[in-house]
Amino acid sequence: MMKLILTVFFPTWGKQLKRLIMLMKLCIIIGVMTFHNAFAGGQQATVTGHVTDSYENPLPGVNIVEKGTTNGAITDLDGNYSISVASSSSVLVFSFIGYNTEELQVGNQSVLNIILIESLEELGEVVVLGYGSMDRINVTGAISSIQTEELSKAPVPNLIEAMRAQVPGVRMTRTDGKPGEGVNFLVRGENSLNNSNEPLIVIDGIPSTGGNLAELNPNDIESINILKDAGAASIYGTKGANGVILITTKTGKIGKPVLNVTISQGFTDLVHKPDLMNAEQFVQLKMDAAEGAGQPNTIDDVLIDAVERESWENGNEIDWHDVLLRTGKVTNAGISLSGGSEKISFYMNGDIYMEDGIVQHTTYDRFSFRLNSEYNPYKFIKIGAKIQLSKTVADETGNAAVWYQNRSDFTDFLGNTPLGRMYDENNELVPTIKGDQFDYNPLWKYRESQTDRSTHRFLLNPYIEFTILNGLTYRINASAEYRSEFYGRFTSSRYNWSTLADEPGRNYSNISNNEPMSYLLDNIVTYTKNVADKHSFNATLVYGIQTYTYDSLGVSGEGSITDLMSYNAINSSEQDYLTIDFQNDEWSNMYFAGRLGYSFDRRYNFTFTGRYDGSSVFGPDMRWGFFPSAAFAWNISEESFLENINFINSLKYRISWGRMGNDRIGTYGYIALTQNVSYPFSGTEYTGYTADKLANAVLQWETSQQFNTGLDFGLFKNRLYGSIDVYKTNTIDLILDQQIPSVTGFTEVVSNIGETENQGIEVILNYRIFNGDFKWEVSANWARDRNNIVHLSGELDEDGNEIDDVANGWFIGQDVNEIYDFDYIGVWQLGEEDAAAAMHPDKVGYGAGDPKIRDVDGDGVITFEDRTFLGNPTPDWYGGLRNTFSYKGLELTVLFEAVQGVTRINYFYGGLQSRGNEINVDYWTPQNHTNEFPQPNILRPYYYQDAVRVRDASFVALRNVSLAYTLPQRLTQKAKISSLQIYVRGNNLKYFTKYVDAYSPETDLGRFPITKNWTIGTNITF
Amino acid sequence: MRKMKKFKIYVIQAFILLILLPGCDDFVDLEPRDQLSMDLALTSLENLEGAILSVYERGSFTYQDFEVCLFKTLYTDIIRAGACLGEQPVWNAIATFDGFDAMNTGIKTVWDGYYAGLNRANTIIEKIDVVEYNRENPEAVARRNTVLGEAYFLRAYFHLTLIQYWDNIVLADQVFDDPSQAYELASKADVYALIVSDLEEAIDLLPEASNFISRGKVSKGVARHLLSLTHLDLENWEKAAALAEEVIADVAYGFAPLDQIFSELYEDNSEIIFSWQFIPGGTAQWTAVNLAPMYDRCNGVDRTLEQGGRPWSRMSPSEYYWTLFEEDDLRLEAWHKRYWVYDTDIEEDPLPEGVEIDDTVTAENIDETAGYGIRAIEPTTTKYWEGDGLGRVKDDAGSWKNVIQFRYSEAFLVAAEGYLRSGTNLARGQELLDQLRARAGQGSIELNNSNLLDEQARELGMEGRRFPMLKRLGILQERIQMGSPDIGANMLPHHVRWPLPQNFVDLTGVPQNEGYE
Repeated sequence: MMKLILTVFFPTWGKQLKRLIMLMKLCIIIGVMTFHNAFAGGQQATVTGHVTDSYENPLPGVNIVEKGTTNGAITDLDGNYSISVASSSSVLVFSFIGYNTEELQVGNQSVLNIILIESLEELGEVVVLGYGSMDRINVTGAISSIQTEELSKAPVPNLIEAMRAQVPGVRMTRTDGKPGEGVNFLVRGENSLNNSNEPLIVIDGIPSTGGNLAELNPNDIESINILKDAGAASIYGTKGANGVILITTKTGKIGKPVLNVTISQGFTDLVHKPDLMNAEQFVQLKMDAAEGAGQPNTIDDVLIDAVERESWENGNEIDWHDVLLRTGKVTNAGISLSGGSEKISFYMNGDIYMEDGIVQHTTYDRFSFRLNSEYNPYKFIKIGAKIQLSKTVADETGNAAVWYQNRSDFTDFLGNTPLGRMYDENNELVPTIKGDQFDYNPLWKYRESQTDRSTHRFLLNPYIEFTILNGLTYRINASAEYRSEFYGRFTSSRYNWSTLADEPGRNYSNISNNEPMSYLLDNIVTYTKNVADKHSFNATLVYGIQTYTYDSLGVSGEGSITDLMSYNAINSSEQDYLTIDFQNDEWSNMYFAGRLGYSFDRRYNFTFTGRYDGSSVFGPDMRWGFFPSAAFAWNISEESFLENINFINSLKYRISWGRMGNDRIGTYGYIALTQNVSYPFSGTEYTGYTADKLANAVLQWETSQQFNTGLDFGLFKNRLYGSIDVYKTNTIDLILDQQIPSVTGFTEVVSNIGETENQGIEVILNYRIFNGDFKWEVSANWARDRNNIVHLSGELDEDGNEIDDVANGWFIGQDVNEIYDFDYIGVWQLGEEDAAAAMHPDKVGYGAGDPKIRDVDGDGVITFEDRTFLGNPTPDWYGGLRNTFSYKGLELTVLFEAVQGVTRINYFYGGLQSRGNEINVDYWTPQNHTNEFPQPNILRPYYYQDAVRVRDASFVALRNVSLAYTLPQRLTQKAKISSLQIYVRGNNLKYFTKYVDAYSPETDLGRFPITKNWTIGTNITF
Repeated sequence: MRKMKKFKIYVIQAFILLILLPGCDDFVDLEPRDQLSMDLALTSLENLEGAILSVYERGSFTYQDFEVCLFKTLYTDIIRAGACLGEQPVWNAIATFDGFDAMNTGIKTVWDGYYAGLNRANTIIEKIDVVEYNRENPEAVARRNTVLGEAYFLRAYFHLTLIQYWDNIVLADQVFDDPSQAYELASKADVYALIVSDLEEAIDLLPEASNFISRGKVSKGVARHLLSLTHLDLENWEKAAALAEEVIADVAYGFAPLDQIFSELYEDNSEIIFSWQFIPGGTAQWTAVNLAPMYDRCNGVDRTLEQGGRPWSRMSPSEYYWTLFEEDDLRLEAWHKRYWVYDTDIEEDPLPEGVEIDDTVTAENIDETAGYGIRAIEPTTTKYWEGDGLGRVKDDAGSWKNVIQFRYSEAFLVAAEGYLRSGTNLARGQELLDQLRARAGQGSIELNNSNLLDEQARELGMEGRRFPMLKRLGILQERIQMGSPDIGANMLPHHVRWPLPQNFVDLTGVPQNEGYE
């Protein structure tokens, strides 16, 4: 374990590593010596004592040395020691890896008991920064780190998702349960109204240019560092404004090769099944909806479809969830080999991940291979390369097989009539589940279509590092990444077959290949210098370029000669129905960046960074910008005045300011380009051009200025430690798709308008409650970020107040995603018809059973002026709570996530027209005077649909449970196994929420159902 | 040791080289590869001849949107909601005034689409004398005049439709490329003044209709016809009549056989003045399905193109419409389908008991499971229907037939109305009315207000020409309430004009039309 921690924290720093390995070896030797109770005699005084940790557990193997001599001893298994010293003025130094070193003067005492305090990994580690790394003690920015151990406890294929609920201020939502689908994630909330708010992801120094992170194997990850404040992130210039996630992959360690094998098997199921109407409730809705429209409403009147009628009479009922969903399976196996010597090191990993989704005909398989190697031919040169190959193969037939081509949408699960059918009397699949040709049979669509997606990804990351002078190094970091995504979709000639159509149509094939390619070249010069022990300087200069190109070629055709070859027969499509689509795109960045750090006596640390950044996505005059930052950190616990305050073991204050940009918009927004428009005359088609948009030549990046201040602390013998950060970000020149009057010929234009403000606070607290044989550690994180719009267009009304942008739903002083709609306060009841009609003069026949809307402006009628602020999807606060219990080899980790104060519109609620099935809601009828939902009407959805569907989507989720058992070494060693762990892990297990009428409180209608996952597995190291 | 020093010098040199290698600005100066910039794209007459297509396209686009494709057919005394209209909230609100408000996305679709057309037309008008072409070459000048004339005509067409439906609009007399500028609603007089001058320009610039085979090309004849309609709005009765007479006299036009006028097999027949164009396999329009009742839901009645193809039943002629026809009116048989027959007897679609193939489906023998009752077999117009002449199959919802905008017979009605209301040359007016009726096998009726209204419904019913007539005569609400009581019940006085899209009001601050605030 110690070896692991050491190698994890000191992956690239040769000298320290060597020193530590020596230290470690020493420990082991000394440990062996303990049993022989070696003792050197002949000294004048003997001191004995007992060494414990802060939980009063005896510490065996603690190294005790008389300062300035080679005289030493170590504690035995019970933490006792005995040492002879030269005199009473001798000083004993107690040291033990993982604990703070303590010194005690012997004085007159013959018994010296001491408590060693665990050192904080948090403070001892090396932190990866943009274009370099730094000891945690010198770090001035707000940087959170998460280690591979915590990531591995979540059985998810996506390394980003594994971080969920574990880092304060990092919020993730899974809106789609499709196997292999990514998660949405934010660092410190939202600053941008229209642009991407997703942080920049940097893998081994290479900013990612897109592509699915699920294609990277989480087992390859050594650590993740999250640059949250401008002090740390502004070195990434125009790409830093949303925070930066730095991912470091594993490297080989000096020592004999280590072979690691992991195998796991998981099972997935719906995490929550929405409550749909059963047959009886559905028929009742039909009757009630007919009644709502004033139409005849007996069963005979409403159950007019012959199939529904027959199912009803025969008591047949289908739960489409049962029919279409299955228990998903996840199989994961990986094997890694790593090792190294002074000259060469390597890490190699091959991994297979195979998932069968919970929807039929959905699979996702990933095969990945990584080789990280480094060669040090001379002391002053390191040559290395990181290579990643991955391939994914997915069958997406199950989530693309719907009536409308290419609509991946699961709305149909919910809408299919419970009185439908799947098979005819001969047990053959039927194309439609009832008489309506739109109510297709999903099983039919599955059989008659095929949708495949496969990707290949190649990442090559070579580097050379020279040590030019002592402390001066020059590193060339290069990268080439190529990704190829093939998509193939086929629908047979019988795909659109319906009970009403009796002849096959044309089959349809579509294939496309997308090829993003990116290159990067960074030149990095670093210089470190220590002067007179107290002054420490470090400087980093970067000059680099990055380019990205994208090419996409698609072909679609209809009427190929056979249904038997799927889209592979596209060549034989009818000539008139073959179309080709070729698209491409590109952007490039060029940058000069520098960082200057100065540290005085380990107490005062300063960091200054600046980046001069050019981005091709802006107009010629707006391409270059400068992004500076300054940060200061004070290690208060290093000050002498805190020496005697025992409960404070470490304390650091940080403050930073900086400017960052966000350039993630479409390319060429600054010029008007053409789109082709065709128009025929008497059967011949002609093609011409028209403008694709209104140009904005002065388009430039969004600029965020952030102020951050924080405190890192370790208290009560470091049993309680954590950080607290407070920040405020102002983002100006927002890039908005500004809606504009259509008199311009366009309805929107991309422009820099407006300003947002985002304030937040983040806390993480860790508490080691027990640390004996039984260990219990709690880690809690909590964050809130509140954004609001400060300025929009800047136009003022008569009263001098800035005008809101109602059309876009943006309001000064409100959250960027504020829901602005009517306030639904119930249903008009019988006897209130006149009042209802008076309030809604524009709606004929408005009355009992219709939604009651709050008359916000009090003018007696409901108009658009009565729309108001109903809440927003930005949580009031969110956080995670992780409990880790361990007893000997057994470890249990339970992670909860809470997201509170979220308001969303739940589109799972239908319009109650009764054409298709719906969520089983309590709706109004003349007999049922509820205020939940209005009266159904077969002719139209109820009025004010969105307002009625606004719901609180707060939740607490049981995110992960991990129970792992590591077999005692004495058992495994016989089989030459150095470690064997077996585990059971669960992910996304349960939501505690009022938002129950959806697959989860985070998902949207139409997305792949959200799943939970139980996995069993083993991890063997040889 | 020396070697090593040398090596270090190499490294430093290489580093300096790398820094200097790519020029700064060049590296971030990229050009789009798969799109031309507008500056490069509109530099020649050919380019503008391509660009005018995008203006035509805006004229036809409403028919490609299944929710607004027949908006011009709505709001009259002769149309009612179809049996399936209720399934379409946006469409239903537009068609029946039920919940018809400024947030309706269908309204915004039309408004935004027509303003995009205006912008494209204005771009051509402003570019025409900037682009390079040989100004000495008469052929080039003629081409220039045609493109410019088309742009003027289409600008007038969009403005006229907008003003007829909304009453209050922003005048788009130039390219507006500054979204932040203030926009105001123009006076009706200003809008009509521009429409008139645009059409007069177009008449000057465009070739005669006889120069074209295609009825999709704008010509002098088309422009004259639209100008005559504009003058009706302006109550310039004599001008309207004079222009209509020019259209009637135009050699390019003439009466066509009744059964050919709306057939997909005769899309360039002489009776058509102008139609929006579609092409088989191209973007579909949705008019055909909207006016077909749910006949195929009856047992024993198969879905075939002859019987109506795929039915959506979003609207149907009102009962009042049928009262307007004499039983011997030839138009009744030629342009309508009034009953359905049994034509199949298979297990999935069995003949009801007591009937045989080719029997007419009647209210008495209709099978209740059809679910639509008698409305499944209600009579309808076939003016928008499409047979298999363009490759349409019975399950296709979209169709590719051109959509006729203006027809020769309308010129007769315009001229007759012009003479009637101006009180001049009533005899000629009577003569024109009689000619039109004679074609339908009908005898003379007196040229008066009421007969003119009825004849217009019989001749041009469902063709999108009735709303402007009822609107300009100020009788829209009373006629709808009389002829189409279902819709009339929802109609309030302010519904005679459409609401400005709420989004447009929010963005510009212009006043919303009364009743929609």
